[in-house]
Amino acid sequence: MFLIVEDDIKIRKFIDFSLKSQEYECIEAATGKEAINLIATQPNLKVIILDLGLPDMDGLKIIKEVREFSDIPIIVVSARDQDIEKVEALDAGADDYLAKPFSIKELLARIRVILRHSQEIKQEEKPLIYKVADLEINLEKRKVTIANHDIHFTPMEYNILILLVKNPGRVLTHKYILKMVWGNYLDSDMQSLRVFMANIRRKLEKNPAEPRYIFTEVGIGYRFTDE
Amino acid sequence: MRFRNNDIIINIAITFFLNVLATSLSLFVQHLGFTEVNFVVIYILSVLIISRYTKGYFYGIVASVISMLSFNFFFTDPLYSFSVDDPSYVFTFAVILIAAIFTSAITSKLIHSKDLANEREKQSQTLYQVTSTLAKAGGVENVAMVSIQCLVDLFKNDIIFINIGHKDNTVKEFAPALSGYGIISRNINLKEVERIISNHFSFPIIVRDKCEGYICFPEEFKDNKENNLFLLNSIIMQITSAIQREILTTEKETAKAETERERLRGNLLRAISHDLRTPLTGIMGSAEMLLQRLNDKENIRLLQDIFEESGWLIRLVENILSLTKIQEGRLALNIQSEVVEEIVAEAVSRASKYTSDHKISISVPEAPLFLPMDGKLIIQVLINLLDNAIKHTTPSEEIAIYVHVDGKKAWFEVVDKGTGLNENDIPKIFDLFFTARNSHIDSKHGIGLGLAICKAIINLHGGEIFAENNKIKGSTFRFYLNLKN
Repeated sequence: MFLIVEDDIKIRKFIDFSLKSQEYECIEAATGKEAINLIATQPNLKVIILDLGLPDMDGLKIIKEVREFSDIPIIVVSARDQDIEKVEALDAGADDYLAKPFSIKELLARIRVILRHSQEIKQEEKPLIYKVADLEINLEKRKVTIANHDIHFTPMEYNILILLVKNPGRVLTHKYILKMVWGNYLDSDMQSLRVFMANIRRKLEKNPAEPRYIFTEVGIGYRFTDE
Repeated sequence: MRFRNNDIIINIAITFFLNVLATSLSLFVQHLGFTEVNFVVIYILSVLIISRYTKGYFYGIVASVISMLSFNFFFTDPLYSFSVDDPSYVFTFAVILIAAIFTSAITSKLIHSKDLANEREKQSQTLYQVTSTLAKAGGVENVAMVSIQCLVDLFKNDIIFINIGHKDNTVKEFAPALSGYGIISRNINLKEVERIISNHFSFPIIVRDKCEGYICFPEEFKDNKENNLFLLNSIIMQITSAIQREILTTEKETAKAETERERLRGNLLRAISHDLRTPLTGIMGSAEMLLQRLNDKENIRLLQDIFEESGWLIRLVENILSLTKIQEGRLALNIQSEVVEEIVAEAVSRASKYTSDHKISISVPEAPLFLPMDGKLIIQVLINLLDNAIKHTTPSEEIAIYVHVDGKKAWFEVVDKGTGLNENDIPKIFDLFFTARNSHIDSKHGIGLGLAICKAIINLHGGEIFAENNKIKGSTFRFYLNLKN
């Protein structure tokens, strides 16, 4: 079951409508309090679609509160075009975000990514070989090939690539990548990350300005393709 | 001059009367059988009193001489003549004369000092009165009123205040009413100002190198004593500083009101942009839903229009928002080192979001190019240029973005093979609210914001933007950013 938290009734209805058209079951909440009650009492919630601008509570606070007792995937929807808020929401534990106005295609794509991801976590079986289009990554052999041509990556580049590949379709914030790959990081490492990303992209993509595998969310982070 | 004559007559009268009085008293005392010493004392006393009640040294000295002569005439042998039998009297006369002159000199000096002190006290009181009255006056006109009232009360004369209002270009004259009560103000023209200044003893009021007005005294004030001029200058200074204070206060209040108004406008625009997104999300979402469900080509085309137009609308709101920030001069750049290919890719993906068919080809340098810039704003520039290109091309016509480095500059080019620009429009194309005439597409979308915003953003980055027609077909928009900030 899906929970849609959105104070604007028209948007709530159209999200509800589009989800139901995909045979997903939905419940709705118009306020933060209502949402937290439902999350605490509904046992079989699969995804929460959360509008950050609610009348009674800050969306960020809801994410933090929910994360204290639940791992339910959260997709944030926001009319605020402040990057910092998106980053804060993602760092607080949201799984993805969409800026208004968004297209249904985008929303459904994000939902599919998240469902697949939580499916994989449940299965607990981690694949050893990732294949996306021409790209093939063998975790066991630490080998990356494109159309059967070997590509050499430095250890750091490889670690970043693997982190992205393991989270296809999900936006990973700069902070998250730094935390996962660098461990203890300095602000100055941000620049290094961008240089590494530029190099990785040059090795993977035909035209780095028309990426096929790794997309940049300017001001937020990176997203690996979910195709 | 009548005053002077009166003074002289009074002084002569006092001198004469007191001398007669002293002589009579001495004669009376002599009758009583007192010695001559007493007459001398009486005469010296009379000189002292004369010096006290007359002005200047002159009458004291005259009184001394007359006293000596009177003593000689009435009391020394031979009586009633100016000659003396006993030569020792000559010594007495000399002593009387010297004592009398000294007494009169000291007394006159004392009186003069007292007068000076009085004068100074009066001046400082006047100044205090002017200052304290001015301190209570608010507004330039009130200051003018109050200072004129003050000056008229002090000098008992017709004094005119001319106030030059630089803001509303009016000149006002403040002068005492003919009835003698109150101050009357009226608008005058510059010719009248010149006339008033030329036939008065006028002081300009200068605040920050700007003449704010004149204070005009009657001509005869020019011949006044130095003291008075000093007082006048002090008063003018007080009035000037009061006017300066009022001007500064007004400016401060205006600035405050202006800031408040801008803040409100900014909030309003932000709210509008925020509130527009929500309904547009609904419109676009519903249109998209229907697009997936309908098969009828006609309806699909209509829905596609709704979808695309909503996208344009969002873009328009973003542009208006940026424009307000730029116009308010508070678009703070968030300069960071960005990878050019990421910025270009983001711009292209967002520009083609609402337009399905156009193909945009991209070319960036081999090596990763890091540029200091405000990424979001440069994306907005590229989107605006791409939108513009999309507007002027059919889907089959090429659109391309090139980025290349030349010396210390990174050049961005958006090239299209579309209709091209009207050569006459090129110089004005980055002007605010300029839209190309004779363009049926522009009449639909453009309100001439996009390119003006591009120019503003690029200029803020220290770069420049240009537009030109291609040799063969279509147009090119190019701008550069500096490699180092």
